[in-house]
Amino acid sequence: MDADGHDRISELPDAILGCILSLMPAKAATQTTILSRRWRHLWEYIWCFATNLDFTAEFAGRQTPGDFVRNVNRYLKLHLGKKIQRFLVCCPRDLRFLEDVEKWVEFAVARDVEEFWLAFLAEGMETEFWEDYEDWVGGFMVPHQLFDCVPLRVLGLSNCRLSPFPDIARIRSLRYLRFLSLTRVDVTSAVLQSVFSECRHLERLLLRDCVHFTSIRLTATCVQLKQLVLVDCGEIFDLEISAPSLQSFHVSGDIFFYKMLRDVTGLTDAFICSIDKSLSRDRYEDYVPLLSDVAHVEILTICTATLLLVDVWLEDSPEYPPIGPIPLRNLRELQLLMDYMSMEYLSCIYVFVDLCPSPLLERLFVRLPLIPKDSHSTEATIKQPPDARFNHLRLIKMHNFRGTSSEMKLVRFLLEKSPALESLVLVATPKRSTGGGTVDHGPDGRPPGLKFLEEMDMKILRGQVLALPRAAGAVQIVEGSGVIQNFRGKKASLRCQGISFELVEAIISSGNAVKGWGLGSRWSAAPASDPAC
Amino acid sequence: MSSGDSGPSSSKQLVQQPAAAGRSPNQPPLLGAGGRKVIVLKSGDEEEFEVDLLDAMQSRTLRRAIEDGCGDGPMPLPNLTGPVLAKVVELFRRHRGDPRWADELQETEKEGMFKDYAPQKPTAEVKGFDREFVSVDRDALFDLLRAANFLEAPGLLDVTCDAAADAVMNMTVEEVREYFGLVNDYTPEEEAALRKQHEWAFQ
Repeated sequence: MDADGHDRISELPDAILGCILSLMPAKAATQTTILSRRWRHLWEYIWCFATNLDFTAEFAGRQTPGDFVRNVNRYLKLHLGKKIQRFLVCCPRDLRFLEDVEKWVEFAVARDVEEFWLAFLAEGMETEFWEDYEDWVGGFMVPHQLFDCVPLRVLGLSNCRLSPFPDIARIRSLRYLRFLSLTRVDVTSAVLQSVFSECRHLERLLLRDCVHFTSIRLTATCVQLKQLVLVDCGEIFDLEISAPSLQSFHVSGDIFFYKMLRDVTGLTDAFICSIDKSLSRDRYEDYVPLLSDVAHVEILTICTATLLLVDVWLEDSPEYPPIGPIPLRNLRELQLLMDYMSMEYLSCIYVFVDLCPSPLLERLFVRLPLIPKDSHSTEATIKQPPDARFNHLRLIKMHNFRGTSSEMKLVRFLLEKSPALESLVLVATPKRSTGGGTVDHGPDGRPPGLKFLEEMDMKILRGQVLALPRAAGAVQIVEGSGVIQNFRGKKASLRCQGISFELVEAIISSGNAVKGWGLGSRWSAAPASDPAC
Repeated sequence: MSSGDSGPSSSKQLVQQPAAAGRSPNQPPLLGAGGRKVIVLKSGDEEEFEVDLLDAMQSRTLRRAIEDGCGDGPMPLPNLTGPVLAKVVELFRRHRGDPRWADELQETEKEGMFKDYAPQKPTAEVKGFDREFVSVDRDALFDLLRAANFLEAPGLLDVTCDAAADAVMNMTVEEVREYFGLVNDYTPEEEAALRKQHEWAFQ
């Protein structure tokens, strides 16, 4: 209390306090209920005209499913507005709540929602959706009112059932849809084709773990589609893409559909990666032919699976029909996601550089594995560095750098071959010594002794890197400490490197590697994280 | 002309409310075809400030007063002090054409008053000014919040509420009480019950 004995801010009318609360995150605003009696109901203002309703992980917290559903219902009752922008909900996996979910959908649709995400939680479920999809989608039916929501721009569904689809013609109502994301949803080929023909504004389509369709035929009718992401849709045998509008094509997991990209002339960005890091060749063998179809892209992300296959496909091999070298003529940015790193994998990189020359490459990002596997036993198989030159390479950034012999060799190779290099950024492995979390506790959270040792390590590494011969006169060598905070600090100074840089960081900081979702950052319209938990 | 308790409202809501509701269609326009008009605002401590009539329109309270014909002599604002009013007048000047109150502006546009007053996006300069504007201590910020409330000025309200929200966002409950000068008048049992009721927010 101030000198006059009044609550200072209590002199403000509730409307002002409500205005302040409405600018705070729901959680912080709700906490104000315990400030004093006067504040007991003030937090309710935030729900009155909220346009962004987010009932996902943070809201759910540790609530029991019953409490969660009751609270959502309670807060929605407070809502007085006529229009909402976003509605996001992660619903407990319990058939008793289906009626509530239906009401939520009704609520959102009645308020002309533009972005809607519905995910049923999947805790404790088998991870292999395709083996057990009946259990996955179960009775968790998507309320069909959703398909009448004309203002809908963004729709995301996870772990739920679409079929039997009432009337495919209803999809016409979703004609303004720009982004559709389906994860473990039993979408069929017919529904998908209908989406393509009716949703003329669709720009981005993400399908993950969807196994109920075997064909995708993207022809020129869907003129707007700019991004197609297929994650673990292993049942597609019939893929036909003839869409010059397509700019970005991401594939993760098994594929069996190579040589079906008929017209992807507009493609600038391709992402071809395995998910489970298993290196069985037969599962990923079509990655290389796919690579040859998208060889004109400017940004390319590949993983160890492709690297391992390049030599068997492109060099003479009795197993595979030879394709010959794949020149990456337009490539400006290459991202290598190394699931493993050793002398053997270094050889694979050499082979790749040799057989897939990319003369215009400007930026190279290498994400090294968190757990190193540097073998010395395979010395005999190590290839000699190819006689390549990267005349335009300006930036190299390596994450999880430890300075193992294969890593140092790679750095040496790149420094020698890159006369235009401006900066080399080496980011050390995030240290987990202070606790289990991947989000670091900051440099001050660590014991000083340990910190000192790490600093010494970095110094030694730095010395070694600095001693390497360089083709370019003035390379700026920056080493990150691996502490996420510092890592972000670096971002500011390197922001000019643009979107792809952010992409790599998104993958790193999400900590779950190549799951397709980290890619959202390439597209500002996408939610930053997967609300589907 | 107190704003009273206008009920649940966010700043956006305020902007969207119809402006100048009391104005009857046969009243003469406030401005002739000529140049700008300046009005004089007088603070509680007798300080006078000249303000462009169009800038003053950012305040619904002032607008009502002007439309009721109170704009000819100095307009007394007894519950605002000189320093607060000085800041507010400066903000009105800097927010000229700010989209945060452009909706209201367009309402009045039909009357042809604001032809040379095209709304524009807040520039980096305006944003910088806003940041600077609220870089004040707690008591001064509360004075500005009260002024925003009294004047019903959406731009001013946005900037000050934003600053207050920012200030308390990452505080503990105790710190927020301290900041707002609140006394916890709950019994421990009541507080525990509320924590339980809103468990998700306290996890």
